[in-house]
Amino acid sequence: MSERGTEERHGAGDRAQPTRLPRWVKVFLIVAVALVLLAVGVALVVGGEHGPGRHQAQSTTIGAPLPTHQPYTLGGLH
Amino acid sequence: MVMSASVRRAALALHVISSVGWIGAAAAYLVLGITAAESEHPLTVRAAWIGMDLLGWQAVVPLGCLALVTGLIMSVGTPWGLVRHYWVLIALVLTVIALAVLIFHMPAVTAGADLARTLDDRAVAELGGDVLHPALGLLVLIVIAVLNIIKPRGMTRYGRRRAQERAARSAVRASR
Repeated sequence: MSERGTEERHGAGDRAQPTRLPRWVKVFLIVAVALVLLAVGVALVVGGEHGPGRHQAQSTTIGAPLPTHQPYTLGGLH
Repeated sequence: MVMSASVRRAALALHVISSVGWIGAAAAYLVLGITAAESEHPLTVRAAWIGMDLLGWQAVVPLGCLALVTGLIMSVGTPWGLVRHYWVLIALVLTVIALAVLIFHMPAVTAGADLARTLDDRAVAELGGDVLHPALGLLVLIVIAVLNIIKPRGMTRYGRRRAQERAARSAVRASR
């Protein structure tokens, strides 16, 4: 089954379809819009930063930064 | 512009590898994000954030870009086209949105990794994780993959017009 043959069969069938949005596209768009509205609603209710940056203002930096290369020793082994 | 069979197969292989790789990298990122959110051990949280930063920039973003580019090549270079079929159009829109959100989100992850390197143990333990973005992103990638596998029927108005024009040309050639 070639890709071109599959595509042509799809095309032939689709050309005969009435000029309306397929049902699965309508359902997909409805679900997508609902999810976007839900996300906007949650963002409005929660408000403010929602990503990893939400912790940055509360954090304090005490102590030396981690070295990039730290020799590792396992107990008494070297 | 239609590609030869060998070029099409090579482009398809690259597209499948990069797309599935993107999903795998996103799943690995999500594991690290959940680990950082759930763990109370400072060393684990530090490692998870640094891992998210590395994995994000060096695997998730490059694979996402490659999946988008190869997808565009596959669309334009085959009879599927870019805007002729609804599944291609929706997959393209979702891919662009997912990649844009990812690229705009990563600087915050880098900032989180920098904090994980510098904060003391008490503060790091409260740093939290990154779950919402990668979880939603992974869901979108799975939807895109399902669309690519199932290829549900439905041509756009432009696609129907192009198909009718091609059919008319074929009929004219056949009648000669």
